[in-house]
Amino acid sequence: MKSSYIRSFRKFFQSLPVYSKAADPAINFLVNGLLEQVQLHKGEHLTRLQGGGKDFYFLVDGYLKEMYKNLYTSEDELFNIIPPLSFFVNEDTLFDQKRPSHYFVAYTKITYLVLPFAVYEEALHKYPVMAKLYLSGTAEIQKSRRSRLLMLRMTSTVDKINWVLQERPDIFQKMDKSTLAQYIGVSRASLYRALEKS
Amino acid sequence: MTAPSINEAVFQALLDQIDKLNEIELVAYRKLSSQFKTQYILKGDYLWTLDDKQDRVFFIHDGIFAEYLQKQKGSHVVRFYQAQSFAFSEDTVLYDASPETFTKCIASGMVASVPYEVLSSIASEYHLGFHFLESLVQITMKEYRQSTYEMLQTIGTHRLHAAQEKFPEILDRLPRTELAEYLGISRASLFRSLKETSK
Repeated sequence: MKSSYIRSFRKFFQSLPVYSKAADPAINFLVNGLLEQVQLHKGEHLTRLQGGGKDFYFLVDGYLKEMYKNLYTSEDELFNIIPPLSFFVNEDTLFDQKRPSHYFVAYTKITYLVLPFAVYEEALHKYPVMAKLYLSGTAEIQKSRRSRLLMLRMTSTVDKINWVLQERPDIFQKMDKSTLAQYIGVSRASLYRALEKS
Repeated sequence: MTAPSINEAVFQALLDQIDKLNEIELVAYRKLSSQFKTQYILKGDYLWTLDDKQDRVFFIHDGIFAEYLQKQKGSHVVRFYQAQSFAFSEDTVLYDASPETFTKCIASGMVASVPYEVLSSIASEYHLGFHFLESLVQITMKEYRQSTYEMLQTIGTHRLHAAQEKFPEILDRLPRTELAEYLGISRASLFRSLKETSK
């Protein structure tokens, strides 16, 4: 496995508010349990996640689309864009032991690492600090979700676009108009009208 | 002394949230649920405010509560808590920071709560680790996911229906202003959507 990928993986944990040197043995244990990296081209599906399972995935490079079937429009639509240096999981399976209702597609060329759930569980038993790292990591994800939810509740499309520009500039650069409209929860017509205005 | 029925409701709610409990953990959660103290919260009163220093975990026995995020331009509804659910400030309980949100009562009801330090001490006594906190995180992860799904609907009626999936009594229990804000639509759009839905 490329050493730069391992560095990125470590960096994720080192950036957490609860990180201290005492967490290094637990992180080393996770690193040793990582499976080989997987590369996908734009448009390819992460079929591995569709079969269920509780494994953790770490996106080292590229952008990933999290998709869902919209029951109201019967279309497959964007739920979220996952940027590099993020963990992602199959939440239906991890939290509820349900069949996955979301699926993942490479938005650009991507590279991800697989951390088997069994390795995480073993780390949890061996290193009490692991639970703290997990909580801190999920807390960061929640902060980001809360922030996006507030954007989604804005009534002005221009305000929503400005939020993406300020809060997610890297994603803004990557998204085509259709994806941006879905990311901010507006129709394409509303997006075009707002872009003309601004 | 807290009424036994509420402590039992807390215990049952804990069992619903946390799976695979062994016997020692069951004893621990029974003890934890017995530590919840009740109070009746009136409409307009707060569960926690921006100035709160003490972190508590609440159990909403009945009533409805709205959590607002305070921003420079004002406050915005983040989510609603309905009966038989747990509520807490993520900032104080999970991030050990000052609350960025406050939670206000929209429909009066009975609430039970326990200080986080009591929860920590029971977790430490019974070697629960962060098991309970993990469960709280899962609750909010799932809620944010559901709310995001609601808000991704581009049509007002779809948003309303999606919110009703999670909260079937939403139309009967919530004031229209809060509901419109929660759905991210104007009051006029909400009334149009309600009219459309009732056809």
